[in-house]
Amino acid sequence: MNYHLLPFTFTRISNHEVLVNELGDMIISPFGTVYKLVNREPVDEELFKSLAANFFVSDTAIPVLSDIYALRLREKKRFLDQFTALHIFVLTLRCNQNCVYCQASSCNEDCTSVTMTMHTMKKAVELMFKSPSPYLTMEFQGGEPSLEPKLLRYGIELAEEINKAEQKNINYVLCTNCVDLTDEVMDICKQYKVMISSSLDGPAYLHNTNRGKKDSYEKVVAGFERARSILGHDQVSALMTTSELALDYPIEIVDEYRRLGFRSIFLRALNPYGLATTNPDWTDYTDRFIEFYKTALNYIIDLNIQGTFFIEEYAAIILKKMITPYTTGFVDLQSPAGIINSVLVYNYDGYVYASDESRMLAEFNDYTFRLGHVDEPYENIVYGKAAKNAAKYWSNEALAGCTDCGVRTYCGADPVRNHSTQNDLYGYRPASLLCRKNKAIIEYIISLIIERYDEVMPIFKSWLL
Amino acid sequence: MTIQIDRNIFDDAAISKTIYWLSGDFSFQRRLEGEIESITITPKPGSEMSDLDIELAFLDKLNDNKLRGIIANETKDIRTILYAKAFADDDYLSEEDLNE
Amino acid sequence: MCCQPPLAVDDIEELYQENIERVMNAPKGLPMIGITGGEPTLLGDKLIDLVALVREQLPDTEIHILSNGRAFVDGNYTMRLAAAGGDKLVVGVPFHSDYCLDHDLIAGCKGAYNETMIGLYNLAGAGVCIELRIVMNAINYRRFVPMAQFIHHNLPFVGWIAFMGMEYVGYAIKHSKNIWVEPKSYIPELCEAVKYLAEWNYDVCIYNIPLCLLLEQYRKFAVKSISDWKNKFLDLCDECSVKANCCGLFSTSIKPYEGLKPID
Repeated sequence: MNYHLLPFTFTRISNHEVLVNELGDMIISPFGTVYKLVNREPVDEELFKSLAANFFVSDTAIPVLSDIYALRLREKKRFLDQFTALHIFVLTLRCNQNCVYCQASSCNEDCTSVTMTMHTMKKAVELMFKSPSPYLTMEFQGGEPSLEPKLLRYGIELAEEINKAEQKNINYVLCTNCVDLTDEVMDICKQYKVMISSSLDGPAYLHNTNRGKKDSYEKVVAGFERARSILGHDQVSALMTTSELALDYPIEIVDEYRRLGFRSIFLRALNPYGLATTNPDWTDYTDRFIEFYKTALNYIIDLNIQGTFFIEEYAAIILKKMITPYTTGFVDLQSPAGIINSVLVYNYDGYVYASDESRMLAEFNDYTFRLGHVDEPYENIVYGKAAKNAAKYWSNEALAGCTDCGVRTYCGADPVRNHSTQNDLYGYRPASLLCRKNKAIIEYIISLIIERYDEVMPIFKSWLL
Repeated sequence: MTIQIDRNIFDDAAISKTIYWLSGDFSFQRRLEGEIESITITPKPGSEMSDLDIELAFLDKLNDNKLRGIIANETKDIRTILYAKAFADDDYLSEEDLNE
Repeated sequence: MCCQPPLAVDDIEELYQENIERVMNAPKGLPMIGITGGEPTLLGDKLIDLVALVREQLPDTEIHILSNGRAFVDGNYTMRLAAAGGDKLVVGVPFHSDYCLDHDLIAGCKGAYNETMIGLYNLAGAGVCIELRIVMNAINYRRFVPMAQFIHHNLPFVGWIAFMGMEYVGYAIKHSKNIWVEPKSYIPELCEAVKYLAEWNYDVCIYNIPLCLLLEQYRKFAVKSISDWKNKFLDLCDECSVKANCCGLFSTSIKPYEGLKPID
């Protein structure tokens, strides 16, 4: 047979060869298909038609519809068009909790000199508006940012003022533990429609153990209720972090989220940053997390089959890349990586970092991803030396171990994680636990699509609508 | 254990990529004699794989990497053209560019 | 493939004048005007003039053009047509298969698939609402599900998708050995494709298929698509409880579909 191949990679899952092209379109085929294609041996007629229709093979060297291919490829990298959309402002390192896995090097509430100055806030907001993105998310982190209501109000009101001329679409997010939401903070949130993003690890015994306090759970849940009643139910979301202890409670954690009225959960692994690196055995943790994730995901799928609409967010992000022509703005699974392209961090001390993780490294005197200072011009920061250096390693299309990977288009590049765990921005995939985790989860989702198509597809689709 | 590979069938890229992925758990020593490459594989401490398992894992990966290599080589130019069309501002590329 | 065979005559000028008369005399509250053919884009700029005239005379009337889409390869022409039609312009384009050679075979023209695909992208780029029409036949029915997936990945911008039962006249008879297929043979593929698209929230509908051929959960997608002057019912339809909602059969078809039965 006479045809040209178009770029694709493949992997073997559930006794099938899974072929994936640069657009993320996936063809599930019997073993031996790739061998036959490479050697131009005949394959099943309907399969061949699908391969031709979906840009895996072409009867001309340059497909006649290459302009459509290019448009679709651009759509898959849409997050690049807008450049940085997420701007994280680390208001302070002060905190009113003491979580066992804290990644943010928090300090005691009474600490001084770990809070952003008004000058830094002003400069940072001005830098944010230099981003060409028509959509901006201004996210406030800490420490516990709700401990700095005056700074919070100043930042938002400055953004509102500048935006009278700029006319961008701005969302505000306050990342808070909800333990002490004062009237002052609630007033700001109500006035400027600030979303609350909080943390809840699961049932009380789990949450309180992780947080190192006896009554954190009660306070957090009371905080949710308060925030929901003032701001509206859907203005409050929660994130969980899977501590070592949590690995034994996948079902209980999901049930706790349902019980509290959430319609989704993000099953998030611990990051090996900051204080958390001193804790568990990471290889063992990663393997256990993968099992934890599968158990919880299956339980969530069962809930949906029984008629309870409930989303697992990480799967939903991967699925959007896999079964739709679109992409997501989720910074951890992007290529080119989310750092700088999608996120910038303005730290309390006036320095600008490439990502949340980058500023956590800096707390341990590693300034690899410090892009510059808020007093510098925008161009020096986003096109500076540190940014250029990171850019050499931020496309998984061009990294050993990633280029040929069958699930590469669903994954991302993460030079910050490579650096922090392997002391090498390029990274070594065979020993990368991030690679191990992402690959296992992506391949598991594909295996569900192969083995339980009729059951899972209506659910997966419903998560993306 | 040692595996003999015919270099007429598998090129250096396919072998190197296979070794890359297995080098987390094994050490490799390569020796090329004529057209036959001898690869000595030594498990790193903690590995519980039998010699047969290692050989199967190696050969499976080797075959897949050969196929991936062929696809990558055959599609290198068109991939460049498609990315250029998608992301370059001035993207007029023709069949001649492909044949260069 | 077309159920209304084309004539190789140049009737453009004569019919154009007639059509202008019709537009000038149409009632102002007319909900919809259909422009069909033959292939209306063969009128070239005259089609744009006609659309502009309708828009001027009947500002609230929806204009529905039925075209094979190939002329919209010309992006400039597409933009001008879109501008003339305004926001109440719908273009219906037949999509015979996601596999180019099957589409070309059914369209009876090599290269038709590629032109139609580029035309669809140009229409979408010009902001025109697209009705994607899949005329169900023996060549394409095995690919209904792959086609649905293809539409989702490559043509997600279409306004709605219509799966259309074939009228058993015209070209359909001439080519009947190759393309005629009883609806009951493709109902499983049709339903799976409709389910796939509906789950993604696409507007999807089934034209020209009597309700009794569809499982109950798919009847809601069926439309009373056959005009009153063109449809008929069988005697057994009198006992059917959903006759009032059914499209019936083409009175022009030479024989009824197999498997018809009244629904209790």
